[in-house]
Amino acid sequence: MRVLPALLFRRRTLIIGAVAVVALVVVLVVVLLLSGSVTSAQEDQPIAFNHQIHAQNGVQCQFCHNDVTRGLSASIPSVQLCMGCHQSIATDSEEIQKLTQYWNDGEPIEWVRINEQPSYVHFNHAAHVNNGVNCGSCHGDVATMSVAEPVADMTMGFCLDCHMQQEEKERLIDCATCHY
Amino acid sequence: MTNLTRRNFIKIGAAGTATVILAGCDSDERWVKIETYVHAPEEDVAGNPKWFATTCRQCAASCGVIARVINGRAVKLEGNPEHPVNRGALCARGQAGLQVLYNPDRVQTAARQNGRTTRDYAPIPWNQGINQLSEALNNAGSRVAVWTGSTTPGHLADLFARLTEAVGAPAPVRYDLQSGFVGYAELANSSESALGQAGMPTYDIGNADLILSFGAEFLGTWISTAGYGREYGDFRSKNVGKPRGYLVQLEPRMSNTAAVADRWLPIRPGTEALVAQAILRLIADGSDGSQERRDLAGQLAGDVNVEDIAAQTELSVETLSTLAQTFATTERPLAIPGTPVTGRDNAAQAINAINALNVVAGNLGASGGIALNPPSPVDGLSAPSASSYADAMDLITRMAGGEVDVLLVHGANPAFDLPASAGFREAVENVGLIVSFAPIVDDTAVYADLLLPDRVYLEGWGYDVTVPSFRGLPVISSQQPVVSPLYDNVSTADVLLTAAKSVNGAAGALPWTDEVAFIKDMVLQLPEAAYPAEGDDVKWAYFLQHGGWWPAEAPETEAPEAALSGPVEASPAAFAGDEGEYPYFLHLFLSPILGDGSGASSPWLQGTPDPMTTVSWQTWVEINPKTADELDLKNGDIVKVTSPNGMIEAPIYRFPAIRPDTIAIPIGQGHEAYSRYAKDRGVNPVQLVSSEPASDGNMAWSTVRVKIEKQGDNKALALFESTITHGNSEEAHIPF
Repeated sequence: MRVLPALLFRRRTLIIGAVAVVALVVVLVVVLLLSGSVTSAQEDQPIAFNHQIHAQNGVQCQFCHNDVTRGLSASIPSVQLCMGCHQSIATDSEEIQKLTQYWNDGEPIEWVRINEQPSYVHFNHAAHVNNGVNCGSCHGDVATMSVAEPVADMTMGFCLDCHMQQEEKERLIDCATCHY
Repeated sequence: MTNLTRRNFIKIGAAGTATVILAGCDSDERWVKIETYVHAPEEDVAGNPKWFATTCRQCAASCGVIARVINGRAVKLEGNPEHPVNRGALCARGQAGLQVLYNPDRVQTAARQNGRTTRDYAPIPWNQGINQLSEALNNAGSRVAVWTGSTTPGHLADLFARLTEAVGAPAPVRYDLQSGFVGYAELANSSESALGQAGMPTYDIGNADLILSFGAEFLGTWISTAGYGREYGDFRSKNVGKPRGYLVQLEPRMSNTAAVADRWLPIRPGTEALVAQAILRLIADGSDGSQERRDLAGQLAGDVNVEDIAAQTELSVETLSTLAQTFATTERPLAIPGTPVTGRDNAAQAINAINALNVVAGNLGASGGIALNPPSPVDGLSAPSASSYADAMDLITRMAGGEVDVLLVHGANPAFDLPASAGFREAVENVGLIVSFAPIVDDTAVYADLLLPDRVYLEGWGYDVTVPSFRGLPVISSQQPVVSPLYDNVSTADVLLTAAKSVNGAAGALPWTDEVAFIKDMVLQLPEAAYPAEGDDVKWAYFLQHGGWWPAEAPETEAPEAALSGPVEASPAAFAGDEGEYPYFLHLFLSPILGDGSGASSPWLQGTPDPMTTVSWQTWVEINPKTADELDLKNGDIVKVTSPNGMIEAPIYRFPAIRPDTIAIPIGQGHEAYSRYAKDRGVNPVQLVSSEPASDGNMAWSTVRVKIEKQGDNKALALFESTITHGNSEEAHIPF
């Protein structure tokens, strides 16, 4: 019988190799399960936008995030929308002057993303908001935050905690509901 | 270096794995930026795509397209399945329409050129440009000329025509390389004798069961490729209740259409019409087919000797007899004249000889035959007719004679489309003001004083009366902006309407505030469409949403009476150039990818391999390997191709599917401007053709002889791998 090249290794090496492969798979699975939303620090943002001030002045979430009932994404407002108010409001603030500069230059603002699902998860804002899930259920009480921060650990477990309690549980815990 | 022991190997492996995992955990998403709109597109939902129906303008066919738009950007074009012309199909050029929109060399605002051909452009405010045009038009009076092309939208062509009529100037010229090479004017004129009325004929390929195509490249570049492609699908399929059609293609070089034909007959160039004559004679003298067909053939056939024709065409008597027999006995045969016929001397006579076959077939106005476009349901809403080459030359003569003060150019590129000897470049010196509406500075815009770049078709409005419109349906295709204009450009129709307000005599003829008002005015007069719509607002919305207007059923038309009377005459084409000095026939063809050269500004199209040779990004000279061996030429060897009219240099490609006495060159490259992708790439073989109009006012594309000289250099051809090389495939038996 011909000796296969793999058998030229010592048995001990093979065992170590096998253990390494198993360990690798375990680590990868754990990493995937734990991966979820991603956070970002305040100083990364090009303008220190303050959610609290806006909420205290009666601006509803949907005024700016106006795709939230219609689309997958809640949407970040255009510079034009910001300027709709800030043509005349708080124009002497340093941050608003930054905003005005973007507007005058016709340049987009590059906001740093606060919450993000991995690419293999399809999250749909409209499906949730239109079925009575409050923004705060996932994003916390943004009205009290000067800087938006992730409050929930948006892993699959977090989603399932709620999906498991729904009437349409069968459908809502189906893998393909989110992973397609 | 230390030895790589097993222990070390495992250590290194483990360390590597750990590094990879850790690197993977350090999420890149941390740095994901969300770039906001400055101005959000109206009603846009982030991440949700939208689809808009509009009209393709990559050639003159006016196919319906649907654009997928996401976050305010057009990202994909596909054929509109509802549109009667292309029924969901879209060719490569149509798909590449996105690069017309996103071309980085687009002119981004109005500009003035500081001295013609200096390419020193100074941006100017639009109102300044429009005022200058308006003043010039006012001073010029009737000394205005408009040069449009086959892709100038119908609504704009109508506005130009109204303007020239109002100021008493000659009607706009509608001539470009596409319309000239395919012979739009010649085909339209020939309908007068065949169908009793001039107009571009539609060939009902789908319902025919035998096609004799005399070089009509209807699956490549001929008139309406996507439309005829769909028709060809019907022609071949049995599921429409008829036998599978049989296609015979007669042309010296194998084109796309010849490649899929049942029979490709590489006949001697210039003798196509003789084949038609021989078939008529054989049907008249034979016993095949119905008595009616034999009688008709007897009336139309000339006094010709079939054996002589066999010798002249280099087809055997047997082949001619088979063609005649098949034509006589097939239920719905159809004969189509292509560029070898429309581009020769005595073109009208030759087209008539071929149309005589259609008369014998009894297919005029019938299923599987030729028919005219149905009449437009609204006055003033009809397809603009193409000008002949002679009309274009008339305009150049008037320009050279100082009779034109203002020349407006839209959708045509005469500095590229015509041979230099036509004298366009010299004639412009006697024109006071030249205005180019080209979105990209092309070969003609280099001679312009004023650039007023039009919006490209994906960001502009329009309509088009489609020609041909298939299955007897009149079609008005709609064009609407699918994205907000990328740059500070004003549509040419709006420029015209604004400028005309202060031009004596023109203001009354062009009273609309803007182009949309004009288009609405025309479109809302249309009768009931295939889709139900009540009220003007709904009619307008549905016109845009469905991609145009067409009725549910084709209107009833009376069968035309053939005006052709026999016997039809035809002689072999007379070639320019002495056979001894210029031993080869020149066969020019439009690139199926770049079209008449208007696709050369798209890198997608430049990079798309030619379907027959797989060459891309350049001009090549196709030559039979037998001839190439005689001249000691291998792939990529540069040759000088000289005709009595001009000379070009290009690398050769050894192409087995071409007659050894013929060389073929694609048209489309050789621009001196027209974006970074087109400029200084390849050569323009139009220079080899005579600028003298042929006897029927057409350009003599197909009657040129050339000689070839090896230049010694070699340029590697950009070929697709694993296709024909110097290997065995060349030895494949192709009978000549």
